[in-house]
Amino acid sequence: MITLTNIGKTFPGTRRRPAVTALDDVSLTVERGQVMGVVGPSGSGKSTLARIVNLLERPTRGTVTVDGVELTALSAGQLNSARRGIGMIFQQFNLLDSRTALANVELPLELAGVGRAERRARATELLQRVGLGDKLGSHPAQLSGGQRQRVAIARALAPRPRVLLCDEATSALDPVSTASVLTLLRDLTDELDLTTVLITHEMDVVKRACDHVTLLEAGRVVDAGALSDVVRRPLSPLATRLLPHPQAPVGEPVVEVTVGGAGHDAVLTELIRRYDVQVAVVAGSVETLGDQRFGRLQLRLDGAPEQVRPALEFLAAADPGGRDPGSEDTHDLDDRALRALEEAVA
Amino acid sequence: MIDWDRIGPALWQATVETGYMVSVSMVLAVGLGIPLGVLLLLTAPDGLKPQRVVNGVVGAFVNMGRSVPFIVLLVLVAPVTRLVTGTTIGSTATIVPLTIAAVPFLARLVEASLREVHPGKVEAARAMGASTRQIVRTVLLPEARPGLVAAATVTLIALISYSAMAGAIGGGGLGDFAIRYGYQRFDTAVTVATVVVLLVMVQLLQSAGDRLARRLAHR
Repeated sequence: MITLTNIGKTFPGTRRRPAVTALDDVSLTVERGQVMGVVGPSGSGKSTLARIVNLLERPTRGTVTVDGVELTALSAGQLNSARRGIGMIFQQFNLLDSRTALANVELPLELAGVGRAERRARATELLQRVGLGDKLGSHPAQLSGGQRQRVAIARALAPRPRVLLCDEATSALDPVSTASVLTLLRDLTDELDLTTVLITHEMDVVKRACDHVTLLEAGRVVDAGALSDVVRRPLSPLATRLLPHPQAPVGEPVVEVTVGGAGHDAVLTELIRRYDVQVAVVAGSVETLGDQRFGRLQLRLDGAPEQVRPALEFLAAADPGGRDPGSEDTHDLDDRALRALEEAVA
Repeated sequence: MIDWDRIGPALWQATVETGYMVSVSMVLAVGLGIPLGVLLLLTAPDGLKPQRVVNGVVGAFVNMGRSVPFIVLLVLVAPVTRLVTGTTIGSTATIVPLTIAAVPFLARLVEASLREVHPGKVEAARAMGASTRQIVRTVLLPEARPGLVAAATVTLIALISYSAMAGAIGGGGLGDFAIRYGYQRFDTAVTVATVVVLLVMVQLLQSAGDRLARRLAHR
């Protein structure tokens, strides 16, 4: 649905400050229906990336394709109509203070030339959907931050876009409003078959609302993938942030295993049923990512060597991420644990 | 003591003339000053349609209009005044220099008010696919309304003061009245009466402007 290809963006320098390269050869694909989180430290270029998707910012290099249309090839007029298919919400809401909530939601329809009655009906329906049916006549100044962002969401969705861009949409909100706005976004994404790009500096937002994630650092993509895949690559930079490695007591011979997610939620049960070993969870961390629960557990296996060894092999097979070809260290950890266990048993 | 029977009608007449000069030039100033202010904003280097040359020329014109003292401007534009109205004396003639002075004055104030509109709102409108014209009409002007009303009030009051100055060279209105009846006849009471009328006028307009600006500001 969204394809960014080899995007580069350099802001020209002035006499007082040098040129800044915000994005350097970034390629990114978001499939229809996905919720893609883009995370990174401030200054990593993530906001620039969001603004490039609807060409609020023109990339210096590369192409942007949304819903099959190459935006970078459009004229100004064509781009304006293409933008109606891409909703956007912002950290500071950017509602018009002079308009009521209802008139704010009507704005994009007004710009598109939709008739008054139809506009009003659509705006009313959307405000009701976001839980503000009783605030139609309120001005933004009379609403709380969370309510303002709901109005902004209704406004963004009014022209029935297929793509929604959220630029730090919850960063100005308190935790309770953040949670409810994220739940709303998640629900609307499914309900309206939206493809969403969610820019944030908070990993928590990704954990709660996204199914895919991209990590930007210094204008480059450092890590990317589906949450359930990324979390199983224990040494990828995102995996640690999504699901921290637990700290086992020093010197205990342990094996680390990532459990949870589709097809991986019964690993421990299987382990104990199949092998005659005692399993102790020495340390662990558990997180809900999207709608699935994942755990990273450090286990100590006790028992006869002929039982422990196949049990360890079973764990390794059940958690292929632990054997990621790119992550030699994990391999070592398992080997070390294996050796340590063998010694302990012997 | 003031001979009200004699002075009263003349004072009323002068007040009506001032009202006429000021209101006509105000309408013209709004009609020309707002578009000019919008143009200044849009063509600025950080504007929506950066145009260095246009911005430079319009900016220079506006600065020139604002740097010439009004009493000098009156004399300077006399040929234009004669061309437009056929005379340089009287309140209709005074409308020309008043308008020429008020347009750049208001244009700068309009530009400043529009600049106060948070850029995020413009960005949001761009993201919705708004054209520049739509952004001006649905975002910039409505959102800047309280500031625009304040700018218009300041301009209106400046116009009253300018119009009184025009009285010095036969421009009609309250200034003219104060000079002829008060100054030249050594009748200080008449001068004071004129000042009182001007004061009341300014006070009423300022508080009306403030009230309107407050009502438009939804903050």
